Amino acid sequence: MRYLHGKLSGAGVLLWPVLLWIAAFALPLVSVALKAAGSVSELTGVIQSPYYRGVLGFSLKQAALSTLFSVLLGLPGAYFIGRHHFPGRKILRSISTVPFVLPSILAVLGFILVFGNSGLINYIRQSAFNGNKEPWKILYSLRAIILAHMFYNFPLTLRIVGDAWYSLPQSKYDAARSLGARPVKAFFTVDFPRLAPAILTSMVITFLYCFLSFAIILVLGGGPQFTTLEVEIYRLIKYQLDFSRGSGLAIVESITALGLLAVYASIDTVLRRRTADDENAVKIRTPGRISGWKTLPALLYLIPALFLIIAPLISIVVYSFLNRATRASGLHLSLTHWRILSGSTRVGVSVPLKAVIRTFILGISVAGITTFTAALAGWYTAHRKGSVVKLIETMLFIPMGVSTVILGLGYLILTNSIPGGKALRLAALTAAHTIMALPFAYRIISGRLKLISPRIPQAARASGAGPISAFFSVELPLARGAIVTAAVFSMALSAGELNATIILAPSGFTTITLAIYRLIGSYDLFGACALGTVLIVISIISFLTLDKYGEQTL
Amino acid sequence: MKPTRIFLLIEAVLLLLTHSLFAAGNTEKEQSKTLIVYCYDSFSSEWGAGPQIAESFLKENGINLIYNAPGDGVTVLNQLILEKENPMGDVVVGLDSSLLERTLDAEILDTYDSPALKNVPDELIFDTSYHLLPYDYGHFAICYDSEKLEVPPVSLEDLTSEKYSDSLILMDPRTSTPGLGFLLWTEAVYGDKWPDYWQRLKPSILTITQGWSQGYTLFTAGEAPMVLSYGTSPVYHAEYEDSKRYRAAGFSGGNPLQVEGMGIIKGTKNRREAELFIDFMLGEESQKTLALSNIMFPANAEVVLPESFNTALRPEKNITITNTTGNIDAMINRWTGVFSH
Repeated sequence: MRYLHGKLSGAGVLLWPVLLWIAAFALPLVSVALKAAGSVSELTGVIQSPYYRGVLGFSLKQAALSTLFSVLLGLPGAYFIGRHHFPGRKILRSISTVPFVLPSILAVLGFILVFGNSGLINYIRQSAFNGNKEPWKILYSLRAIILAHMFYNFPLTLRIVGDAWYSLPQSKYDAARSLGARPVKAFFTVDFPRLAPAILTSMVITFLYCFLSFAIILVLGGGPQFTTLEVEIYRLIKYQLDFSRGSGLAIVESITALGLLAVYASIDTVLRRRTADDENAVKIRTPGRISGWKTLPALLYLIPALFLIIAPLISIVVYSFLNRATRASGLHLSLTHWRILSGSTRVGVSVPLKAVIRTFILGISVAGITTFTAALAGWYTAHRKGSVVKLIETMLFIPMGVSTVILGLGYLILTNSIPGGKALRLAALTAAHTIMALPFAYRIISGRLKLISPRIPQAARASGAGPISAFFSVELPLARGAIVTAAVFSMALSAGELNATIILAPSGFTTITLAIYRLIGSYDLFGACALGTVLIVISIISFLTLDKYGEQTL
Repeated sequence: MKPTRIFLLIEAVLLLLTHSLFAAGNTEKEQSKTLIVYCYDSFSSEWGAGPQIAESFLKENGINLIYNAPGDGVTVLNQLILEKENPMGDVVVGLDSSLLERTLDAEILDTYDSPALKNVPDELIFDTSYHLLPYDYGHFAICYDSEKLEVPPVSLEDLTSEKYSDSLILMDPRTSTPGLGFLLWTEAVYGDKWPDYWQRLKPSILTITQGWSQGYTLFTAGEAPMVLSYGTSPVYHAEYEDSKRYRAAGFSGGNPLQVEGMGIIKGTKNRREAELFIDFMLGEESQKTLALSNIMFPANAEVVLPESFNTALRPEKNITITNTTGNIDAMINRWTGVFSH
């Protein structure tokens, strides 16, 4: 009876995640598969073609390089954020997530304004050399692609590893130190093994994100010599209507992602086995201040890192206040483009501030549902072992490795069966955003739960608490930091998502990102920057609030 | 038993919540007759012609327009093809001349020889079978920043000149309609020798973007003095920014013509209303709205245009570019080949 009860509660926990997964992920993919009957037979052709092999090679190469540099840039930041108090720490933590929110077109714009041929850096350089120098061509190369991917992704390492660093156990470290280990040695024997799973998690997420990158690669790379699989899938599906070959390529992409998952899972298991006997997280180490010899490296790191995130954001903000009224009058400051928020635009239709509210409601729903789902699945996988756990982990990982073009096509096919119904369409949109955020959220939350889970609930249950009440009263609060990080990323992802939103949002449901896209599409770049500024400010405030909540108990 | 219940309960509540939360915003009224219009996103958006046209159409004919805009023009065509067996829409707006062949092949539209076409010049009727009827048009052109470029280029060949090194922003023909238009333009001018032309053009190209939006954004941000765009692009800056800084370069030999079309979806149960809508789109009021929000020339030649349209390029010749699906794949392969070494 007791045994049956255990089984049941396990199945109950998984019901919601599995239902969601089927509805928002499996269903669209199946509907694509039905239209692309020949995709498997296209596989051999795809693999044999030297062109596609080159494209796959480049996709892997740029993703590997981007991951390497993003993680290298993120690690020192994670250390400072996780182990120290310093002025601006909270702001850095929250602001670093903002690039995630930005629609790629604004991120590209911010980048151009800073690093472009006539951008800020070249402007300063020109002034310094009295304008006698050719512009320094930073962009339009592989380097530019990597730089932009760093801008987007190093915050992942910063936050995920930073959280892990923050919650390192005091006791083991003390023990090592009292046994005479020097700090460096204590770090490598005690701390590093406990950070490694988090580093690995941020690496795998970053890699997949860059592997599927698309618009940034074309614009900043400068031409078709830099082509990823995703570009080719887009072309085949959208412009050639060749569903079979497009899906064939997408299968190659997903198999690569699954291969990566297998490698990741086996390394992760080894890493966790080493620290399995921990009673950690009961007492975490208190962060110190940055002082003495640490000040210099801290400044040397923090200033350029902050510049990389903040300069493109600020340039978008500044740009929204510029006006170029007449020919030859040059640029001057003005509020003209902010009219867009107060009402009348050029065609006389009011631009609703509603977009802000909608983005907010959607983002909060997505963040809530995603973290809840991830916590359920995370609880299950942290407490059980066996093939079901492996299956669940794969299921929750694979949406990251599936082409967004293919998923979008799936939604396009399905919208036929959800015609006018506004409510249904919105539910579908929420589900789509949730499924995109879920792999991140699950990785982040389950990574933390696995560290906490083995021992503490046992202790709690020994003193009379059931598994569920132990979960809510002990495990969840201990994982609060991770849950908040997951919520922040989910919200950011939802606010910045464009492709699924265009397809699924019912007419009239305009999010900020959609409005930005439409403004740029109708020539109004400055207005788009004004809305972009709103998006940036709202994100910073929301993330600061969320983070404050997340750190209270830590 | 208890834990199971708690979780099932939470799940049920969550499901209900998500649904009711959104259902609250669902207040669609269905008192009057409705017509479902498939269109690209920028038509139905707050900054497009759609909302205004819907308002006047309702006032004049008592028919509600409901827009379905799943993305750009190509996406709209894809959706029509996907739901061919079970069409949900009545009319489609925004399939341009480059999509004609694919549209006809898919057999998704009915013909309609609208009486309103009498005001449309013959050269704009790109579909003589009357499945797709023109409503506005423009030309692909190289636009330039007159404050950075004193002498604009005068031909495709001129673009390869050394003085334009790193000065041109193009779009990828694999992912963008103007991008493909430009590739076909070079084929129309150079015939089989077009890859050699691209080889010469390479040093002038600063970057090749995924779509028009990114390219034009870079251009407006001052990253390069030339961009692939439309001959009517300067109209926007003249009309809404009172600026004549950005201009379109007319090329000797002409510029390619792009015509945007609309049609009645096969299987509609509202044929009469659909015809009314098509006629209404070609009427003077809608045509003016379309011109000013799409920044394109109206198809109806009777429409009096605002002064800002004097800044638009009127090319010396219309180049016809044809997009025959069969050879595009091979062309793209040769095109990527140009850049691989």
